[in-house]
Amino acid sequence: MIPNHINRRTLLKTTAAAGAAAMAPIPARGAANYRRKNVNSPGAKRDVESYMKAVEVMLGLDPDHPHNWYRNAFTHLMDCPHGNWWFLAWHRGYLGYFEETCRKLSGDASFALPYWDWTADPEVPPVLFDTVLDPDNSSLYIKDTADFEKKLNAPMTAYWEGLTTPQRTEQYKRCFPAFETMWQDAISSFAEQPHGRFLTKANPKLDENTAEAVSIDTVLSALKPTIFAVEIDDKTPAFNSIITETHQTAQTGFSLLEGQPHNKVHNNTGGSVDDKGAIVPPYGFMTQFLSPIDPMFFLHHGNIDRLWDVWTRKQIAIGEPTGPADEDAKAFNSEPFLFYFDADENQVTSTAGEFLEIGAFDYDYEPGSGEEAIQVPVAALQAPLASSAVVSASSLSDGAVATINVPDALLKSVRAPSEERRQFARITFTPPMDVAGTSFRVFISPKDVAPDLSRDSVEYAGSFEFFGLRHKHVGPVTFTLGIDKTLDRMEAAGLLQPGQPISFTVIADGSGVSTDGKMKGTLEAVDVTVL
Amino acid sequence: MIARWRFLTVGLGLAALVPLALPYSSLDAVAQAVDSMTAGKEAKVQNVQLPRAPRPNETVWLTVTIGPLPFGAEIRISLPDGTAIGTAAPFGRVLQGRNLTFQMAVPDGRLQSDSLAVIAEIAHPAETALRTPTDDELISIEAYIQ
Repeated sequence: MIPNHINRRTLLKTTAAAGAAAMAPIPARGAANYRRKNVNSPGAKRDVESYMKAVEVMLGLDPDHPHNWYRNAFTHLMDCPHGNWWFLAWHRGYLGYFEETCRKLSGDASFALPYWDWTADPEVPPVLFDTVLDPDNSSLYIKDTADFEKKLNAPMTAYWEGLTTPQRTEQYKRCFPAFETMWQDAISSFAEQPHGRFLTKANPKLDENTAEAVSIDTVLSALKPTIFAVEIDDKTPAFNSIITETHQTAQTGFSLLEGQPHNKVHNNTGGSVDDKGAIVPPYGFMTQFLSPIDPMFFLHHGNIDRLWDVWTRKQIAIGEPTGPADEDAKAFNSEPFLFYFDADENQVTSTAGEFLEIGAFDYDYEPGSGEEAIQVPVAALQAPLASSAVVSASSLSDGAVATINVPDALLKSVRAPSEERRQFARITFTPPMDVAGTSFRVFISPKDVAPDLSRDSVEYAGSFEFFGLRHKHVGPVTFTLGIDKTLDRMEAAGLLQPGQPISFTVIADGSGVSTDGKMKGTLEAVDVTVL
Repeated sequence: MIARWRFLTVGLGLAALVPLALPYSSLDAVAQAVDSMTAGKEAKVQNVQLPRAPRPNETVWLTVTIGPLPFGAEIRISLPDGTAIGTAAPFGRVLQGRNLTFQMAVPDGRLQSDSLAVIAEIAHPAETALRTPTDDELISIEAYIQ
């Protein structure tokens, strides 16, 4: 009998041996320049420090500056969609520009925003208490409404007066016909110290209902739908919230992802919550549209965005669309997002379609809860077009190499539009016993060209890693990696020629490299296939 | 007096929904809700008759429609054994007078028959205990198998 509080995540962690042996091929995202990491993982330490530095700089900026911490939160208050199908795309853009701003203001060129995996850790991350990331216990934050009014009213009035006609139109649709209506909403959303946040260092755990809303069962259910979005009278389960006319439309209908983990974490951490679970005054930041005043906001939404990325990779793996249906795409893609500021303080004019993919933000995620939703049915992948002919005997810490000859069919697939054909490499290897903290990077290069073994090299195809702290392996494991982008680059450079060999280099990277500094694992084979 | 729920299930549902879903999946609308009350303190158990039992790889989805609630209120949906299904609670500013829908999923494997029993309770910031929502607070619960 399994106690109710032991969820599927717990079981996965404690039955890793079986999990690893039975692991289905998991598509990893291709090369990215920045990796967003779990805020509680040791590898995120530098990013957390840079985040704190950036927040401190933003808190210290003059309120006339668009990167001022409170000004940044106004972007959310004035433009955020909730309860409609633009929720995910808008927040991807918001976090993406914020991340670039933090990169600039912290001086950390490799900074990536950490995420809070509330499924694995259903309590507020410790770093959010008693630091500059704690709006109730840092002197850098505005303490009360009077001071907020005094410091922000004039700068926001000036900003409002400078809005363009399209921006004014957006505010009108949002039921902010005049500055005063917007400002009144801001005042009612502001939380005075010490009520900025409900959960505390002494009481950091999500309540029972919220813990259920972030449980692995709920998350996996949220990732199940294969349709991007539906109209309100269509009850087919969809991944996104309800289709509406504009992203300024008041909340209409919530997908499982937005309605459960998203809303519940906001409401529980913001509180305050009485003993029935109802929210009662005083309301903290996270319950309102000025929620980005609490630095927790960006860690929370990082996890929501991560789950969108998991869903997207799941869709690719099973051959389902990752965006709106054809008849809806024009309406979705052309929706204007007019209130972001980029890292250079420029107001950005963008549209929702730009954020369907991570694109120019160029990040990926350290794997977290929900990855197991990606199960590639073997039948969905075609038989291998090519299999490795030569495998070097080198250890994984030095870089093990497998070589294939490029078949005509692969070249044809690479030259076809990416929405019609996608290419995958199935990497089969016997990992060492201890892979904790280790990432396995894959590089593709012409056979006689040694690849540049860094994440920003043109030969970098992507990486994969095991989830959980410990795995005990008894046999070979296969990971599937999307290699479209890398092959596209090689094709553009004339490096993919029919019948000519290309090499796949697999190398271990990370703290899990075993005691003598060598990974004892063995690369077994590489298959290249198309979906 | 315990309020009676309105279950806006079917009729046109089965005919209208299945074709829309065909490219992706099979989707069965739930058939007639059977309005039977089982007292459990303040909680009311509503039995919903499904057209069939879900298969092992299928999920029973609920679309919960709520009416306007005061800030901070939430409606919780659960199975009679206490297993939570989900919570209907908006985030932030909501347009007054507007109904909202919430998608939820019954935990996989918890339903092996063609009858689904659920409980709805409201946590209201102005009241001291959980209670059954009124007709204006909980508009409908629709269920589907996918």
